Amino acid sequence: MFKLGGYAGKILYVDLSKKKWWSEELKQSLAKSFIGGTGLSAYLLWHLLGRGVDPLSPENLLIIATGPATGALSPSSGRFAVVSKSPLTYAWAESHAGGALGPQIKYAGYDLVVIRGCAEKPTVLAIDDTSVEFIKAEDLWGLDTEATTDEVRAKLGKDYHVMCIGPAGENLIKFASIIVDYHRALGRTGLGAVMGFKKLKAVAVRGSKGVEVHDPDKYKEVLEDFLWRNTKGPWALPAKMSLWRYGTPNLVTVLNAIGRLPTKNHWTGYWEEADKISGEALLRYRAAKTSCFSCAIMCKQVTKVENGRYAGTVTGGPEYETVFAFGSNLLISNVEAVIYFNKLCNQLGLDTISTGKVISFLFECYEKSFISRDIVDFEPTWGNEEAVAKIIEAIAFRKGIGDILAEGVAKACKTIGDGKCCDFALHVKGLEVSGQDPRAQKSVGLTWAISVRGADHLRSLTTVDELGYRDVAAERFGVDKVECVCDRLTEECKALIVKDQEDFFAVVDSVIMCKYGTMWPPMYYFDFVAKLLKPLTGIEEFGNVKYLRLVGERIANLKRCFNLREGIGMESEKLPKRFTEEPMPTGPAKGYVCNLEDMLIEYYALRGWDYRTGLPYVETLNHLDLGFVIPVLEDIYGSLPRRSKNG
Amino acid sequence: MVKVRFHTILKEESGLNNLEVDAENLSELLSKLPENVMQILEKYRNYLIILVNGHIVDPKHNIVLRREDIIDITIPVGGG
Amino acid sequence: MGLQIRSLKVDPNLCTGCYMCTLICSFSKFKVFNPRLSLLRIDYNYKIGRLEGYALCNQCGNCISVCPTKAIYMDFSGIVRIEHSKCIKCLSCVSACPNNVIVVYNGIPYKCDLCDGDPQCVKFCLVGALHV
Repeated sequence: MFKLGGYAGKILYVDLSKKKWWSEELKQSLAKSFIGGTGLSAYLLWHLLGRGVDPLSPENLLIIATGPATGALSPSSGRFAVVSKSPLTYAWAESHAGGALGPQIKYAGYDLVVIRGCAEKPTVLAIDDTSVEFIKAEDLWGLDTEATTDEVRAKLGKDYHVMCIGPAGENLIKFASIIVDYHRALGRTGLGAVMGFKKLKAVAVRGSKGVEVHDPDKYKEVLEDFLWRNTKGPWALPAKMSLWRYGTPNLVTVLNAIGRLPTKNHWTGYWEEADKISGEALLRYRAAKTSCFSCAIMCKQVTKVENGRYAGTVTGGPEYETVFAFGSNLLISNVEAVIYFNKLCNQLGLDTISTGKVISFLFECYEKSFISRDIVDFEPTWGNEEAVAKIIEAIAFRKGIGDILAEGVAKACKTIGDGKCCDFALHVKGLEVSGQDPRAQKSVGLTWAISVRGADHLRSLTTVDELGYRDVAAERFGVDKVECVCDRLTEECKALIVKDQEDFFAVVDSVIMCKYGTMWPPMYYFDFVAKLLKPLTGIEEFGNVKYLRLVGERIANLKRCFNLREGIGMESEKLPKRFTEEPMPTGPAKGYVCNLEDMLIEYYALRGWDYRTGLPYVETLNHLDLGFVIPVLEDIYGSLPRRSKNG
Repeated sequence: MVKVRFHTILKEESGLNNLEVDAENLSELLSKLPENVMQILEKYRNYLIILVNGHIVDPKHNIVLRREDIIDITIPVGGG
Repeated sequence: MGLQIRSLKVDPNLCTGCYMCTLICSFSKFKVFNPRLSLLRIDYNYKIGRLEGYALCNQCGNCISVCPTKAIYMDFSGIVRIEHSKCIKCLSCVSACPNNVIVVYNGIPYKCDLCDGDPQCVKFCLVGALHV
């Protein structure tokens, strides 16, 4: 009998090939060891997904995951995650989205939904408390995500929340996204293509059950604390005046001021026209201030363009990453165009980061004469808005050069320009780089190199060094480390903060809480999560910070081991030469490069992995109760390293 | 002359994007800002972050400024 | 001296769709987080970013007149309350409510009583959309 608070206590399994579904009880021991969310998904993916499975095959799993905090008024707890093996990178894939769908899964009575197989024809999976239906969706195939969401809700009921793919997912674009509640995106790693291959057009959920907590009185105290932190606490005003007021684009001009706004395919980190695409500029187009479910940060907005070429564009966002990807990255200073491209990508179901980066790659190829004008019917030049619009459509429908770009920069550079352009195909593990630059913030180099997804900005990105939060640094790492932690332009101390953040986010992504409140502002840390989880779940150990840190390490290690099992190891932990060999040419970080090696060596030591072999020490795995990965990895790599008796 | 740039809510409330100021050090610069700007900075004084040429400085230390230095004044921002 | 009728009011233009009001309501009353058990209803349109519909108890007292056991009454401060010891669970009050905000939980009807002077939904509405 499942007795933990917060959890629904059930995992829903769906087999699209056989049109069958069933549920199994969530083992309490698993909840205790992996919490939920992506931690629990990592355990399931390890055990249920065979090694070497083609990501675009019926065998690949798509796991939709909530955590114990989902739906329980925990801070920033409207988010949920989707986990799979990525068709873009062939590595660990996870993506998170806000909106309001995640809590509905919990209210329907499930902690996780594990989907395997392929539908014979386009299908919508409808989950409603105890009923699960496979609904024919041939009439929806080909529709964009907005029309799909409208149609599904019209057919099933307006109280359903919908996650769906657009044409990009259907056409198996390797960085296709899944759009949630119209405007939120499960953006990265090509999860939309996984759904597209499974002919799963949409998942629609609604639930009527509630979430109970283990100790309501103690939990109420946590809620009061949550309220205080967001109204009177030291981060309340910055959160309100930055994220609440401007959304994530609050970053644009300040990042530019520190030389970290990626410009012209990350050629440099400073752009004279940054003001034009700033959070302040976007405010003029604000149609509505909105929020995700159960969130006090409220960083979302609906944006509308009334006049001009893009008149009539209405879209959620754009987020900072989209603003950089289609703004400074492409030298487009017309913020209305950026708003339009955001909408186009969302409706087609394309990851805005990867899409922006494949386009900037193409532009650089053309600038450097690696491709000729006659292979495309537009001028692929910096700042050319018309070209961008055409390329986005070409990618989504695999037309002409779009078919090559649809494979992602890592593969595209082998075709375009006869393989001579790969130096500016900027990715790690095949995942295109995001809106940061390791030359202007050294820790970014390490976080990109070691992140399980690839060049990822959400698994361990640190902010303590971004603008130098000395109090936070002192509290978390000690007064003696403040100087080196807060200096974003030194490689020193960065392994320490990246590894710490990776462990913390492994917990955050399992609980599940948003990065806003945890990554920035640094409102919640291990101590708060411990204070939250114990009265929520009733699991005593969760109330112990040391235990939570151990769980974070366990989850981080298991994800890394998943990649090792798939043959993705240390050789993938490299940065493009642009960041290690091309000094930043302009701006406040001019002259800097990122020296990865020392940070990597230190990171491996902190992780308990052997830098010489790129493998985890047996002692590390045993300490983390991950002994089950040992025989599997030894089968592939031979014996795993052991620490010498002399330490 | 040095250039002062305001960000986010400071820019919005002051109505100013940037200013040219003739100042040899940080204290002199802050004292020469318009009255309305001073009031806004006072309002957010517990949160101000000041950068000189992209490097964070402690306003308690009276940094010497050179011609064409860029001073950015903001409150904390974040995201990703 | 007239009765001062106090009831919840909402400014729909300020609502952002966080639903924290509904969650703290159901938790305060029933120790469970479930927007469907909230004694106020919010219907937020995430597509356009607007509060499309809402239902609050405005303490109109319609339920008082239909209650066969006089379990429902208006107190001295103008709040309409259900005295559960007198309630026979006929649920006449539910259909009599013009705003459809009487919630049935385990067969028993419940209504908004402004949390005895400290309405939790107002406290958890960080944008000030809800007030008394």
